[in-house]
Amino acid sequence: MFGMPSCKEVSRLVSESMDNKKLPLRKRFGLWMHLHMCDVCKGFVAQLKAIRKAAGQLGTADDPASSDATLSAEARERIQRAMRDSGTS
Amino acid sequence: MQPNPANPQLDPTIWLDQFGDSLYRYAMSRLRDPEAAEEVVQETFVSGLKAASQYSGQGAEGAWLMGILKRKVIDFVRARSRQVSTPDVEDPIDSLFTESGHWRNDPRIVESQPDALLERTEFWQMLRQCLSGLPQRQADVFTLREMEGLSGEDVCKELELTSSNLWVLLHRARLRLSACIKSHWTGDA
Repeated sequence: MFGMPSCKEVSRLVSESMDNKKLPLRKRFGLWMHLHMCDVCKGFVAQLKAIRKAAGQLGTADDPASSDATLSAEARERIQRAMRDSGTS
Repeated sequence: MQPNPANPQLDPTIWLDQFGDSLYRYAMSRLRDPEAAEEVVQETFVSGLKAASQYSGQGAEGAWLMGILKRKVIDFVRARSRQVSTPDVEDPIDSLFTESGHWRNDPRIVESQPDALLERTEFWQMLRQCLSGLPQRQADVFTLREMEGLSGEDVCKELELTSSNLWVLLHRARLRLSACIKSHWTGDA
């Protein structure tokens, strides 16, 4: 349809709007129209938002797949030494 | 090591045991490099000791240390981005779309309720895995913008990028992550 952005264009516009880029009214309207009609892109937008949300919480207590990585014994020793040295200097 | 006499509310002697591993995991999720993560945790504790007199006593000690760590992570990403100057290879975003700009394959991981992805442990595992496969520059901007929540403006300042650079890099990073998770998705777990 004339003036309607493609899915490829929409993926870019959506990403830019997630970074608060001000889109011209015409683009915003085209984006809105496209998302209104295209379930695939609509789902994709929600997916990007889910990725954003999970990314922010990765490695925190809210991360259900948080690794059980721990500081190695050597690292602990090094850190302890650094803290001690900084206290006496 | 004695409890810090400058501030009786802080007890640095317990930091390593009590907060070391959780700070390390957080740093690992952002820097994806064990040595780098150890380094920023160490810097966090040392800075914490030096800044102990500024601790207001409001809020938990762990949260206060986390605040210091977050700053250290940003500093580390900035410094690392200046060292490595390997230009990113051109991203094959075009291959995700047909010539007329349609999706070549459905990009959706699930067809309905994408919010429910957050309840799937597999989704988080895949995200973690796919993040480590991003080209360095995309990973850096994604980390600062999406993981640390910096504004686009601040990311540009930290990484010396123009805003159009930033938009391009973030767009690529998002498409690539999304496609990577989808391609590894098995649907069980």
